[in-house]
Amino acid sequence: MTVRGALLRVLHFLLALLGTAAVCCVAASQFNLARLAGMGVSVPVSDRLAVTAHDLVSMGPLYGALIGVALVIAFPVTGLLMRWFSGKRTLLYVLAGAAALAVLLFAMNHAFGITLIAAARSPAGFLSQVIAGAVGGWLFAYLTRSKSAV
Amino acid sequence: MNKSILTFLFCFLHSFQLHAYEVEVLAQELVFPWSMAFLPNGDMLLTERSGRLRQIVGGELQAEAVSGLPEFYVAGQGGLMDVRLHPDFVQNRLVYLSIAFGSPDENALRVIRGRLEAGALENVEVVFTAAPYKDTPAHYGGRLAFLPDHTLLVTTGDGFDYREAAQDLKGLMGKVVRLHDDGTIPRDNPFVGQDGARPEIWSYGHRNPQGLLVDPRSGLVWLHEHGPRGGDELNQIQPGHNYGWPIATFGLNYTGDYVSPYQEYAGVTAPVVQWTPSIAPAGMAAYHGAAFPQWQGDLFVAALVEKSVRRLELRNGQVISQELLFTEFNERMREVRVGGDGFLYLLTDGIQGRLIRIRPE
Repeated sequence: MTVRGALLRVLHFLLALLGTAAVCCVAASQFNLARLAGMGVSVPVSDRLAVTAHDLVSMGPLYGALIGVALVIAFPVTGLLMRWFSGKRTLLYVLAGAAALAVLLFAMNHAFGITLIAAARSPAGFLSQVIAGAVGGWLFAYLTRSKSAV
Repeated sequence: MNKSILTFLFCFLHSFQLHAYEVEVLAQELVFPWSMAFLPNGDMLLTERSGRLRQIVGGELQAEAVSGLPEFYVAGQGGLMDVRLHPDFVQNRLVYLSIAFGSPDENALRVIRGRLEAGALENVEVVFTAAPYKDTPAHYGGRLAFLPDHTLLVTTGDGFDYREAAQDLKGLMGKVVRLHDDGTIPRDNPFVGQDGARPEIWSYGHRNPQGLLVDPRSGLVWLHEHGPRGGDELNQIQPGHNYGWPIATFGLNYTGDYVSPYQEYAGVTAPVVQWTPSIAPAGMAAYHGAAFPQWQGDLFVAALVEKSVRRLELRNGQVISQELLFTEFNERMREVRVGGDGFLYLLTDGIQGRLIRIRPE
């Protein structure tokens, strides 16, 4: 791979990471707000939008860094798996992104004995984060579609 | 624990006021000490979160721990926590302990009591268990305090993963509960007879309250609780009130996202003081001793993260000024109490925790 190709691959990874983190944060906000609604708290649309924007900025960097660690392991492993499943490239990256988020959340829960991502306390909230990982995997596969496997 | 060789003198100027005090280390190498109680003869009981109830007799830490204690669930923030003497201890010798009980999958805060006789706890019985059980080793609450009518207040935490339970009156997590000294429920508790509410509940909407006291002069009940990332609170507790967690808070989740966008909310009693960033308040005392006249009526709050003890000056139930003390130790402060001698007693947190006495110079 050329230097330009390598830089492009890094850029694609960062874009995929950005997308994953954004979907994770937006989903987390909605699940947190749903919990409040479940306690009878009324959150108007304006507050809902403000919360979502706040969380993107406030939660994104830290959570994004953690997601980055998970994806930076998952995507190269997927590149290796491509040798055996070359026809399933997009599917493999989607699964890799989903698996990366699932492993990340399980690992954090195990390390701390608590659920650090509040939105992931419910099965549906957990699934929302895993789906966000899948979206990130799809995005990476799409951005790198004309290239060989990572 | 030769205290004579561990005595130091510190004089510090704080906030325009000279506090000249002498520091005496009464005990060290305590394993995560959590709380202490003063016996009528001046001796002390100390809890270590690892499960030992230690004694200070004649100013010396005894090697042998008090026997007769049950098994604890020691994990995370759980283990042996608070110790309180029954108001009639001289007659009945009853000691109350808060403990974590159960297993990783099913654990809870529990309050037990037993008679202290010759270095042993006898006739140990369960007074209270904070149902429902949880599967996290965090946020037990665990502070105990007796009201003037000899009913017992107990703080319970939200278990970290179960924050919404603090607003659920059908459960006992994230509450202050009020019990008779034998664990039965007073009939004048605020939710007695209310459908869908546990009669033990005295107040609700708490996260992880680790400071609780009944001021003997004012009669006010003070409670402080850990917020998440910011939003630690000092609250004045009134029966039946909702203190807001997690509907209204000044704190964020540890990952930076909102717990709630609201810092105040209809029906929620606002904190008297909130601390952002977090100081991690862990113990509390009201000063009415003679040794430090300039501190009369003040509250003292031990802070883990801030590694300080905060002195809160009160007027008409409001905090009018705050002062950081004992930051020179650079140690996490777990507990602060006032002894019968009017001196301050501090417990520092950690695997080599210390018991420190503060007396006038």
